[in-house]
Amino acid sequence: MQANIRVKRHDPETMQPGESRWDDFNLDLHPQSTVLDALIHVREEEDPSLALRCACRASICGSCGMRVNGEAKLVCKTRLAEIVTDDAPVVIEPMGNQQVIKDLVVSLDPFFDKVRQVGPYLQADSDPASGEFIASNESMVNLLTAMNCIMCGACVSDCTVLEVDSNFIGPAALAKAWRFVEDPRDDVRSQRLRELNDGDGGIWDCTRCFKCVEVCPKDVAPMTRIMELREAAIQDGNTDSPGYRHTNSFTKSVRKNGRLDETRLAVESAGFTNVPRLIDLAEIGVRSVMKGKLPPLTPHKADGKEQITAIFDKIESESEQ
Amino acid sequence: MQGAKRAIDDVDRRMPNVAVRNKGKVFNTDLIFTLEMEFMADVAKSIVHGALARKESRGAHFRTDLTERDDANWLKHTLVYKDADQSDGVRVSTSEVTITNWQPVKRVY
Repeated sequence: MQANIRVKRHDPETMQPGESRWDDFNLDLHPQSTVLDALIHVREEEDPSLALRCACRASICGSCGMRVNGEAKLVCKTRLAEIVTDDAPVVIEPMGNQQVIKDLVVSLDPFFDKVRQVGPYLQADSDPASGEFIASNESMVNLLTAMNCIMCGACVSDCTVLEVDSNFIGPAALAKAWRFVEDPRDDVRSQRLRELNDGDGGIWDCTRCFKCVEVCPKDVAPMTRIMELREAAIQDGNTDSPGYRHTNSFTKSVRKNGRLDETRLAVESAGFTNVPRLIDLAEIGVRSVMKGKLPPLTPHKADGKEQITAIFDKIESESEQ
Repeated sequence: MQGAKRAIDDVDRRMPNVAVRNKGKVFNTDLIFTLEMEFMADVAKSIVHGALARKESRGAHFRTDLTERDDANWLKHTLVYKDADQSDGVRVSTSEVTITNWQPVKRVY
């Protein structure tokens, strides 16, 4: 099989941080070859200075996370035949949102710092009575999704929040946090939820873009875990957060008017006592007025809003039963 | 085993000609793989020469010419040293084994 690949190169010894060049290789490979096979071929036959990480070659070690045609992949799990085209080369870059050490190798130190930040281990108040903690199969089986995480960093690479806010704990670490929040043997559940709710860069910073769910090679679905953490945090009494107020205001507005009251949403999310944030909002409000983009101060009401209210009533009466 | 000995001695002889093309100081896998190959050649040579010296079969070390274990002569560790005075470049000796909890028994399954 003929394959053209284009590899992003960065040599820290001759280039400034952020500087890079593209190298093209035209390879003749076995039809079953993966992107990793192609890169190893380049390293062994064409250019021994090409730096990349890999180990198991069977999508279980999580070492070979890279961007292929703009999306994070395990390159050992990505077959060239499925992505190769005649008109454009397969583009291989290091993962995003992480600092490049050389070529396709990134530093994973910030990644693991964030995983450590969530206390990724069982925290029990006392030693188990019978020498080991017994958990039923039923109580653990739903954790398998998150336990499948191999820490490859694909979700962090393509996270659209981390792109603009490096403070966000990020999808991988939050999926790991969820795994312990839901563990029946853990004794610090409330403390975990409080920290994830109140802390900087916590569960409310996710924008639900779904990118981490798409790129995860092990179906961990980190965003779904973050949504479950939000729900668990609210159920556990964490109602003093912009996230909770936002959710609440959203629901209230749709229930009442059949649609969103954006002005009220912004103010209620901030909280009426959050003066600095309200001053910020006032400024945004003034700028919106000048551009003619201020949402109406009194909300529009949707036609048939009574039916929407009825839906809310029905759901609530059913969940009370 | 004689074939393996010829092959590994050949690798050993050619090893000084191996060059590292990548001179970089950061994430230089060319250098790491070259060092690893050198270590692997040393280990492979120890295994082959140790196996040739051990005139018995024991566990994973199995000889078609000597299929039985021989505790009388070979309940011993194999020690392989680099030795430039030897024609093969290595010297094989043995040391005594101290048996603690687990007596050696015949593998039957």
